[in-house]
Amino acid sequence: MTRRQRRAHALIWLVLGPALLVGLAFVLANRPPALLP
Amino acid sequence: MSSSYTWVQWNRHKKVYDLVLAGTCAVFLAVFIGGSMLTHPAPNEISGPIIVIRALAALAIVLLNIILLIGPLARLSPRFAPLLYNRRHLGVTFFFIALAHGSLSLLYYGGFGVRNPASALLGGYTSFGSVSGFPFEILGFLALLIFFVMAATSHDFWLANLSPRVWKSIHMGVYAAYALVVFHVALGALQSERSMALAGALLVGVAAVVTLHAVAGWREWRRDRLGVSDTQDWIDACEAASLVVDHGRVVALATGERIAVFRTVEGVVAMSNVCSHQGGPLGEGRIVDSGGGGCVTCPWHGYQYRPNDGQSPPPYTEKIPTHHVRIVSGRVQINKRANEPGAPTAPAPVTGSGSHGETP
Repeated sequence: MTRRQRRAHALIWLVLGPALLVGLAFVLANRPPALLP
Repeated sequence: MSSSYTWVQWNRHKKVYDLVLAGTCAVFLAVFIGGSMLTHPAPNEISGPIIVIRALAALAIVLLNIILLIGPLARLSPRFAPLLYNRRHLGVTFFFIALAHGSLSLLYYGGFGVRNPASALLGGYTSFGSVSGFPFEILGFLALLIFFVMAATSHDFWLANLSPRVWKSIHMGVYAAYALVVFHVALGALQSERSMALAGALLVGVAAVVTLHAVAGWREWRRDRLGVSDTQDWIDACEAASLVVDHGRVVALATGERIAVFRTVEGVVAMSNVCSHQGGPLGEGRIVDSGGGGCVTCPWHGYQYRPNDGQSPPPYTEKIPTHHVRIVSGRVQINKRANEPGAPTAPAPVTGSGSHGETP
């Protein structure tokens, strides 16, 4: 990969990684009460 | 690599890969559908179309995770590079499975009303502020649009005509589409699923993809950070005697550029580390005999370049920049200024053990 592509990848995952994990945790924690264990 | 375009350049590797892929997909769908029917006997049976919709969705997300894991795995270890060779077929297969899931869902869930199924499914709900009522179908639809563009351009014809840079930018849309798919599942299927098994599987998949990309990115950053300082034209690369004939080494510069150094039977040569096809790391490849001359072969998709001029052997026309090399006191020195793509360069001969072979 070129230097530019490596930097783009790094930037994308720096933002996307935490956003995915935090967002997923939020959605799972806010499921309908009837479904919560 | 090709000098003309055909739909698929079949070879034995691709045929075996595709047969294994088709077989695995068929087995996955059969096991999922059979398992669902066995675990939900009458009178609690799930209707056939719903089981098929779920099976296609499960297969699609498993394939998507595998596709996204191949890139960082190949960057972390060359052992995984063969998986990259045919990733394109995996991607197109994934698209058709996702398309089947989307089409079947549209017809099944949207086909019973008086409204057009597409408008009923995509415009029926507007609870954007609610977790359990969020119109998750829209997320899946948007992801499918991105995957369509990617699948439609998954061919070297588009890569060459759009330019590798534009093509790569388009295909990096997979990350946005992945986020859309994750939330499509989390706000859709997971909102009616009592068991945490599906949520756990999704979380494990996302964590694996995020972690591997983070580790691969960190390794690349560290490699760049430890790069050779290049305040002068000639940079010190490595001990000449440490290079193995027909094998390469990647030299990282402090600026983030990378140069591939190869030892051939004639001496040491250097060229850009970036393959002109999809940016594969040439220095991690090796020299493979191509019509007797021996060509540097990209570990990702097998594109080849002649060591002495960075040009693909005829009839191919790809070119990459070369670098002049000299050996001083047994050390390989590379001129950091790249030559024009395809420009000939003389190999620096390694004499004896390489410790005293000097070339001006």
